[in-house]
Amino acid sequence: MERDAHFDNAKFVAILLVGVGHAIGPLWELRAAGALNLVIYGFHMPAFVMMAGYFSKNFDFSKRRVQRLVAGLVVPYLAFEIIYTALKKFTDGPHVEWSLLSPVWLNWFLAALFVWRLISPLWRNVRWPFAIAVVVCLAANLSRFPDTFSMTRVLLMLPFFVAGMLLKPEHFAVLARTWIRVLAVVVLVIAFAGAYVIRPFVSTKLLYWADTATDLHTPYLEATALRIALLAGSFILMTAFFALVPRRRMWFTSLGAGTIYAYLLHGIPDRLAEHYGLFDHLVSPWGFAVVTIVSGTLMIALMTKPVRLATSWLVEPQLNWVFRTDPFGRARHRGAHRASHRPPVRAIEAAPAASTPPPPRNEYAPRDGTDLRRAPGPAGP
Amino acid sequence: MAQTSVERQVQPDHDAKPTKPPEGNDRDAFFDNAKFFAILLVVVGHSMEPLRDNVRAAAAGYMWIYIFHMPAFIVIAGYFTKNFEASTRKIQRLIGGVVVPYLIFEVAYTAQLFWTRPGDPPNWSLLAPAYLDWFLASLFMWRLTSPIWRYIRWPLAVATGVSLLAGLGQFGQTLGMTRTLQLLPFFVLGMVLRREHFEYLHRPWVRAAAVAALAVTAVVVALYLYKSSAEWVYWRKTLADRDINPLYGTAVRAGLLVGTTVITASFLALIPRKRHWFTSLGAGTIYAYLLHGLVVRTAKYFHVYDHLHSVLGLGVVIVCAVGLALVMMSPPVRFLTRWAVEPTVSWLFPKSQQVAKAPPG
Repeated sequence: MERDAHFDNAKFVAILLVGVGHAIGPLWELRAAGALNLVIYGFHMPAFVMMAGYFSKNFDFSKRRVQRLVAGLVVPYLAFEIIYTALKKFTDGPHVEWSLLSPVWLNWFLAALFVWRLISPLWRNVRWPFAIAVVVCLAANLSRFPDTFSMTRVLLMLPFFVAGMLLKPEHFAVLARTWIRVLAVVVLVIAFAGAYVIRPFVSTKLLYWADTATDLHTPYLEATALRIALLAGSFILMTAFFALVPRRRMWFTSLGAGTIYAYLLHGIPDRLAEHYGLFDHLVSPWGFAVVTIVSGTLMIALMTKPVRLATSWLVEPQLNWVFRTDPFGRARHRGAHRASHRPPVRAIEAAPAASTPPPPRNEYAPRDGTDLRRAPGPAGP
Repeated sequence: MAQTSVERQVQPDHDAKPTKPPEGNDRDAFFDNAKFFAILLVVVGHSMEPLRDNVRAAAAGYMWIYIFHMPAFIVIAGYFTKNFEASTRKIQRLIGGVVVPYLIFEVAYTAQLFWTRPGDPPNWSLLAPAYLDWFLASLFMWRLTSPIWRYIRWPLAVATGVSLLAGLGQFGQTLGMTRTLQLLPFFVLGMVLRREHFEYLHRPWVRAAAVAALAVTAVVVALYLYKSSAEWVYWRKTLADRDINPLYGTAVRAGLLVGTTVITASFLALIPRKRHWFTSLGAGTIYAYLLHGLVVRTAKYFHVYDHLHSVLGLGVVIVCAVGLALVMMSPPVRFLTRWAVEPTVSWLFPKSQQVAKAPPG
């Protein structure tokens, strides 16, 4: 499949914002830096989650996709869980414990993506997926979850992922119109001005999407209203962001395919810089500029070929040896006995058209009904 | 039930030569029988729980049952999850057969707890399974992750490693995560097994050995282990949760995994293969599973057990429990509770994707 320059550009810009956002976090006392951080946190991870949903539309449990799930998410997750836990032990002290299933710091994204992708077929099949996802988010907001698999974020950010699954290329095409782009600039300027005003009264904590109302001891009604406002605000900022991201191939477009490298690796220098107090001397307009430029450059460097070559064994390992060539269970497309039990052909053909994008069609042609006889029964008591 | 039983007709493993001809109904009688006897044990186990403190036979019987009853279910669940895929049909079954009943019974059991134990504030977190609802939560996760086990090499070894490693961590109760991880090897074992593996179990000498294994286990439990912590066989807490030495604990758990597999195989070896009067009930075990807890807990609440703390009382409890299980699997109860246990969820799916109903069989 040909890569869409718009999305690679969006990923590139969004990952720069992730790096810059993390780097200027310690400069919170500087009002402009704080405001910028609020705006960035308002949409950068929601944008990534949405794009993850957009590209998870076709997830089925085919061997190729499961292989990518394991090699592209599970294994890097485990590797960076070990790396970041070790780093945290180094910076925070030996009391930090090993817990492979409670994601450390930025590793939550891989854990959450694993869960989202596994449950994506559910959203693809049900009716009113977005409405259900919002309800799940709002209900989860009133409850409380341990940090296993970053469950809180999985649930609170679910609307972004499901929205991504539902969006089609034409929705993004709409954003190319000039008046929308002008509006997008206005939105971002207003957002920054607003963030500048409210900066002394808020923190970025809510924008981490990592705490439910119960975690934050907010009354239910207020919390629900706030969550709806946050969802709406994030969607608006995200839309403005996608409207402004260039659609042409740019010098950085090819780097956008390697954002996962910058994402997973940048935390190491960032944490070390913070540990050694580098940011202490930079809480000033000049320091703000320096931190922004240095962190931006670092993020770009981490997406370059040499870094990717050097770390691909960790970030995108080729794990063909882990997979069997002869998966057990049913061989696909074999045997079409009991034709009478097959669902009507129309149902088969209609399924993909409902919510999945065109390319590549054969990938997700539903295996429905090819052989009902072999369908596993729900075992269980 | 007609629709469901047709849908569930299964020969998941078409590579294995069917060693016996289907008898009338091509749903495999062996697995229905196994599920039938396993659910009897589940209900009996839960029912005798209040007697454990005062009646030694109840304590021993409880432990003995708990060693293998849920592992047996999980192996069977794994066996029938070999081909899980992202088709509308399977997703619909996952939602209608697991997700929605989970939510319904989560509310039911939490509400019951609120009623029977007014002191404790109820935990309305829908993701922390109440009582026996953990099985549905775990089944949901096992089924969704089943393609991973299907495609990777050495699935059983990896799953066993995951289970043993999980014993060292702490995961909380969200979606029954601890049990999902610790019991994972049984599910994967079921996925790996083929029909002919179950056939081996029916050789006379295996059956004789199975009787011996179950009897020896019963004796050992009755003599020595009846006072041991049942947490070992619940699999709901990790070693870290229980503050047990990781080295010792992991060794015990490794032994338990092996032992449990042997005992579970023994149980399955003794299950008849032919159709019997109870075979059709085995298709409705999920009803007995989800419903019986409400009755057992209510009985406890009304102090029914106060007069039953004796061996005779234990006998009464067992007879009543078996009766209860039979009633709950009977067609009338299934008909009345289907909206909760096996709800129709086609309304949740777009018309274009609705799966044609199988003709009644």
